[in-house]
Amino acid sequence: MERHHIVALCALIVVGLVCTIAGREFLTMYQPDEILAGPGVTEVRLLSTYFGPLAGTASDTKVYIMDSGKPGATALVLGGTHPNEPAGFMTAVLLTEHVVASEGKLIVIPQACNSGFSCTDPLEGYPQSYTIQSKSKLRTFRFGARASNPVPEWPDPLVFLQYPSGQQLSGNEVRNLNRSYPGRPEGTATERIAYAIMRLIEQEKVDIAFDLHEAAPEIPIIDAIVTHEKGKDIAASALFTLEMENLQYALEMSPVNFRGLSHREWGDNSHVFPFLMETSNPIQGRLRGKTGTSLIIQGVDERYFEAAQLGTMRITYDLAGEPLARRVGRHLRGLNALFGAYAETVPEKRIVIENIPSFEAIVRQGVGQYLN
Amino acid sequence: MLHWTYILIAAFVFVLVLRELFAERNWRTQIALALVLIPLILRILHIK
Repeated sequence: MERHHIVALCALIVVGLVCTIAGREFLTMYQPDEILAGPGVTEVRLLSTYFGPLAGTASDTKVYIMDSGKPGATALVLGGTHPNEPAGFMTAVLLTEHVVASEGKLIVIPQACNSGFSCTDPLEGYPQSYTIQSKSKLRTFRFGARASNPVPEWPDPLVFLQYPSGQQLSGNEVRNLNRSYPGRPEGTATERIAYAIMRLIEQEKVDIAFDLHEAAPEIPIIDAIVTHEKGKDIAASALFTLEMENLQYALEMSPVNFRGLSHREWGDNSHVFPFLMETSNPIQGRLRGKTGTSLIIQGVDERYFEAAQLGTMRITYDLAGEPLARRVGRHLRGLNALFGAYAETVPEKRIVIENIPSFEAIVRQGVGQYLN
Repeated sequence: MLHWTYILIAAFVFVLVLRELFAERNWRTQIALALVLIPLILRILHIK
């Protein structure tokens, strides 16, 4: 055996070691998060109940149903449409583990884009998970990618043609659930999730639906409620309630020509009143510095503080940052205000959810206090 | 179908690079070739 063959063999052994160590680390992200159903959950289904072909795929996900058994409205709450937006996901987890429906029915999907929780976005340096101390133990949750995991769907097209509009988007958006509605049964894995959610809305006769998101602090649509035109009166009424509590939300109308988004397609393709809520999440921002789990939980970044002082940001940003508790608190308070406004608009179909912690309580005590 | 075509292409490129690794005599180039193998292996095995 010549010298260069020995070098090649040694290099191969090193490659094998690197692949083993890195591969084991990457594979930990395929382990599902533990969500402990609370006293309000009456049934747990899979999304594939509504569209069979999802069964056994990475896209299938749990659907938690809280049925009061009393007549009223049916509400749907989606977290984890974008798995790198933890406040949306954690709000849905908190609802699943803590609240009880006393009138109507609440359906929660904490990980709408389940496959997106099994990877992180490339070149962002994101942590793979973060921990929260709950009432019983230290809980670990995955911090995923914006879109579905590319591995089972590779390759992305060069240009994504949104179905059925034909709208052209960059190729990687083909895996973005919030560009894939209303979906199609023979479409991509992500279009099939969107299709299954549309079937759920139809079969469960959902009256009011929420898609919980986050965005970078410099993005114009943050601390906002986005509504389809048919829900604008409900959203405006909720905004007044929130304003009286000194919680500012922007009211954004769903653009008619921007297709594939939940607030647009749910509204156009079903009888549901759709709302999307955004909070400000520094870990998604381009200005951020050190990217670690503390940025997810505490949300403190001095570069954003500097940007706010220079007047280059739309929102107020102080050194207290944008902690996860405040972002989850905003989502919960927004949800509750929209439930109230819906009940005023459609009094014969109320939905009453008990045990939703107040904004002040969750900011003071943290998210973990409300997790099992 | 397109997915498995791409996986086959990745596997083919892996074999080509592996052959180069053993044919190459400059150790620096060998290291560079070995590094190229890592993402190919992780993708072929559907890990990353």
